Amino acid sequence: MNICYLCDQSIVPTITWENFFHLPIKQTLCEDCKDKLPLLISPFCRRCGRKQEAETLCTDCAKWESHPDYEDVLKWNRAVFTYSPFMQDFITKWKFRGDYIVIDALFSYLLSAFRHAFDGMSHATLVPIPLTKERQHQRAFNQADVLAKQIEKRTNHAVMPVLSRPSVTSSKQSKKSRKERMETANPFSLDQPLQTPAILVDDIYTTGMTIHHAAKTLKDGGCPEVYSFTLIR
Amino acid sequence: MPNYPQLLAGKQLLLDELPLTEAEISTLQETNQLQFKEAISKKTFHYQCKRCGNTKQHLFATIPCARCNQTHHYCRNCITTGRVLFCETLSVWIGQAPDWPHQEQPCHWEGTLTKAQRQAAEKLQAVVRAANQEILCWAVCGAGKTEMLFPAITTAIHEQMRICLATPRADVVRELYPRLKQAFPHTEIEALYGGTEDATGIGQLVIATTHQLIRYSEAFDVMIIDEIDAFPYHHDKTLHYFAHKAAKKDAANIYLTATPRPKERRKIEMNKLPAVFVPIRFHGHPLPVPKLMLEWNLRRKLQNAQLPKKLKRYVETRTIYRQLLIFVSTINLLEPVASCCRVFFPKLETVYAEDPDRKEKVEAFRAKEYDLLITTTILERGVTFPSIDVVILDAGHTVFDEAALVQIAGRAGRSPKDPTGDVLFIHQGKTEAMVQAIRQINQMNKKGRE
Ligand SMILES: [Zn+2]
Ligand SMILES: [Zn+2]
Ligand SMILES: [Zn+2]
Repeated sequence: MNICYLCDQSIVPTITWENFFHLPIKQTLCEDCKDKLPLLISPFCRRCGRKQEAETLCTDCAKWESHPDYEDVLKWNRAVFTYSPFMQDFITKWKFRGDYIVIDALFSYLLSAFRHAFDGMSHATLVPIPLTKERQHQRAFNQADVLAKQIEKRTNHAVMPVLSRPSVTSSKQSKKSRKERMETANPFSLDQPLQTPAILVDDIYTTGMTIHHAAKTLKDGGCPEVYSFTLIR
Repeated sequence: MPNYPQLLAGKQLLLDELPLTEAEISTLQETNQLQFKEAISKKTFHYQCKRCGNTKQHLFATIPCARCNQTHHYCRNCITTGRVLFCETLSVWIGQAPDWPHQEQPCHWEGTLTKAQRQAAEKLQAVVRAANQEILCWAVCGAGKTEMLFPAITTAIHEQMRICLATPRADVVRELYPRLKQAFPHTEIEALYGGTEDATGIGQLVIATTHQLIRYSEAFDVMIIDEIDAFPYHHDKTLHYFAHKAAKKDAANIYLTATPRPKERRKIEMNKLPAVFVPIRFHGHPLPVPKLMLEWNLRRKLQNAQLPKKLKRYVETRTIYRQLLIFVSTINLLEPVASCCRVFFPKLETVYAEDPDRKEKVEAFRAKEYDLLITTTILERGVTFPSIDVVILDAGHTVFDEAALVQIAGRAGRSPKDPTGDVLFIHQGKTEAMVQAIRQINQMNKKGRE
């Protein structure tokens, strides 16, 4: 039986010319859910990829561009989907509840968006945003790893997990308020410097803080150019 | 030291869910009080989730697990109540049974039961005393079933038993919790529904949505299942499994319903399921009997936002002032019906299951802030408005089965101040469900007069 990974309703297979002659591929997404996917199409902010009226720089990016520490750490970000209630439900199901398999339903969208955005850049290395050991144990998978590995499998890009994220336990850290820590401390450390351009991979670009911290860590270690690719912006 | 038996007995918890430190866990293991068993069993290539009972192989997926570095199965069937991985275990308490406090007089409710309520309550109480028995309580809408449970619950608490009241919906749990807390102020009561994080874990009386029972195993001496005929319990085998698993082998099982399904009714008729009837409402008045009204081309009229003649005549000739609740078969009829009713009801609202303002709209209707609410079947049960008339448009539609029709008719005449109300089934062809629903209501009214 074929059931939709996202809404659990059973899928009535559609016969198309494609699968009429070939073995039908296992359908994992129903038509209703397909219609609800908020594909991110232009125009969007030319830097962070956020959906907006024109291809200008968004206000968030203007702030990043004028920040002394972060002005040139990230070239640009591209994403597959915009953030919507439907995508929020997806993230809850996949990441927070841990239903590992559901991302399978979105891989084809992920790949075509990736190919479109990073055409001709096959020398760039994929770097997934890491989780702390504790978080990774709890979740039993790293969502960024899953996305990066899927891209690696279907393109010429290689995955190099050169970043790590030490647990936040030091007494010095815990004295600061949570907000302070978020704003100041860079949670990443570099395990191995990267000489090729890098494409950071993560599930969501929200404030951009995580991506900029990771990009800065790579740049400080000598990485020539850093881009990023997220499922949702 | 926490009361471990109260906290852990009768539960099957994942390691993450155990409210214990690592040191506590190893002490309890060493002293032979706590054990762990596999969470997913595997026989050749056949898997079973020990938490939700799932054996459907397509509801197991594989994950390259970062905990054990192996690729293995996990259960998708019970993912909303905490993912179960193949490499995980479930806790089993093998220490002492919990020792619930002795209470001479646990019930502080000061009301009195009607004669019909009292008769039923005594039977339920007897089932609790006897144990290893089951009984179905068939009480009409508005019979006052919660109060009817108080004597049985009182007996169970007095006998130091553990009790579960399982209901299909979270809003019912939220509504029952304060009432039971007031009635049993010295009893540890827990309310469990998706999203409660302040569960104490040591409830002697647990009020829960049936889904929440997934974490229990052979825990309860008394298992009360509310609205056994309602969605989702009626449709979902998994929920039956949860309720069965959560009760002790010799538990007293009490089932409540206002509209039993044919399966239960057959069992009652064949004396295979003991039953007790409460055919009369707590205020003593009979159930309003629905009136059938035929309207030609009703479905086409509704779709075209044309006011049905029968509804028009009814609205124009109504003399007693009550609020009006109209049921439609599908969401897409809400707007057309609303638009043709606005001539009579300038202030009206529509509501459906996923309506983000559902709660507010229903509250405002109860507060009489407007006169007409048009709804899908989501308001068919559970909600009470003190003084309303009820109309079903297209009562012959398949969503209105016999149980739904009886429940909807049961919305009218709930208050002792206004114990009657009109119930109209407007249809374009009489169905068996309508006939049976009216028959059922008449039968109950007849029983009530006896
Ligand atoms: Zn931007
Ligand atoms: Zn399961
Ligand atoms: Zn594992």
